[in-house]
Amino acid sequence: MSITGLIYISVVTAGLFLLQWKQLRDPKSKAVFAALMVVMWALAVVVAYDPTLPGPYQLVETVIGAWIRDSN
Amino acid sequence: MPKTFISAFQLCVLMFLSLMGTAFLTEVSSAAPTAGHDLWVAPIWGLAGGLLCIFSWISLHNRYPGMSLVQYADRIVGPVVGKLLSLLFLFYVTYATAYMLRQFCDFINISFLMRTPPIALAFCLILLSAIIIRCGVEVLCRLAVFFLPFPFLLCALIFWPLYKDLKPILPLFENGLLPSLQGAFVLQTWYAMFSLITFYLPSVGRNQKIKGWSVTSTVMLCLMLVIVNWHVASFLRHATELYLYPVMVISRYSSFSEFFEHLESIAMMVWVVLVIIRVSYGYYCLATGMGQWFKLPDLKPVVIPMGMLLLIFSFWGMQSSLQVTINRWIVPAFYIACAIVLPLLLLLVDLFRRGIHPNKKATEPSLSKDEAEGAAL
Repeated sequence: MSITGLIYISVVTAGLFLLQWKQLRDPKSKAVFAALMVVMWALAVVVAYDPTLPGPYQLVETVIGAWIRDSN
Repeated sequence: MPKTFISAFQLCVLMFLSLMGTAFLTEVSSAAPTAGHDLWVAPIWGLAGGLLCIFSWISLHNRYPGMSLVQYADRIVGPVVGKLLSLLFLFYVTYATAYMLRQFCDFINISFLMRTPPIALAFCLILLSAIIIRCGVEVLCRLAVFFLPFPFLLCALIFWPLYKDLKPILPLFENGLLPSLQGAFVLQTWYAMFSLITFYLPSVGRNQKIKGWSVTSTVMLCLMLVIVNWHVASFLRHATELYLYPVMVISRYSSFSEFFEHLESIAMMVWVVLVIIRVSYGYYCLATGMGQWFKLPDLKPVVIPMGMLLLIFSFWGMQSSLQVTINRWIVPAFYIACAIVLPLLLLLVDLFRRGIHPNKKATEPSLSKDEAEGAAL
């Protein structure tokens, strides 16, 4: 991933964060929102850095695939 | 946040419409390799799975009125296991919605907008869906009712000009019942999506009508799948399983009296609308479920993060949406486990613990402050 990609993801996340943050009143909502946004930003950076990283599809394929015999 | 109510009819239309868009797109190519000639019979067998799914979720809701899976799973199997099961179901919702989103973006990228990166298309769809979700469930349902004629219009537009070329598909059950039953298993990928009803049921105003309308929705989906499969198999014959998007191929052949050509552009317009409704259908469940999981008073704080999660899931570890179809049994098996087996297990545990007719005191326990806020979502 190039530095441009990192900046792009960070700017979009920060923009969305600021857009929503102003509308939140409840402290618990603010805390959950901030935590989720940080996690999503980190995930986005990791996935953009290495898109071939095993993800949810590979997880399902491994777990469910262990129970199913392929008859293709 | 004021609680909004929707009618059973609106929910029925929403479920039907959200599934039709993707059914037109990839259902035929998913079922054709297994069902072969009996492609059009497969949805009829698959209907049993859809009805079982609907009835199990409605039965659970009747035992815990006004609550969704995230709220009553805690009460049925305890807080720790309940939270884990809720998280598994939310993972399934995310997986299904993100996979569908990726399929559609790949489809647009292959067929129409070849220079546009799929992530840009996905971002636009998610942004639009986020706006709809923030407006509330009522807006989403009214949108679905407004666009109800679209799948019928699409069917008429694509299949009407072909009637002179259609021939009966014979022989029926050439290789026995197994191919069509296998096709029905694959089609559970669509019927399983009725499980998302658990997050909409608390918003339905008149609960006594919900069973009838839900069955109507399932049967309507089955009929539309039969119609689409029959037309495609009748027109493309043995070539059906060679195409990735057979309905799109047919729409390119169609023309009205040699005057209206390129009907695929109109078909595409209808598809975009249907897919936005489908994304919003799953996105709303994800946002509501996550809001209830964290016991938030409102779903707005989780709308944007969940949109980002859908976007990330649709590209994470997947070069193309075709990659997931390598083993065609895995996705339907996962969907069946989450949409049919999970509610049946919960129902069984609840029946064992509280009996067939739980008394009203048990169904309406005193809610804690946090749970009351979660229930208001």
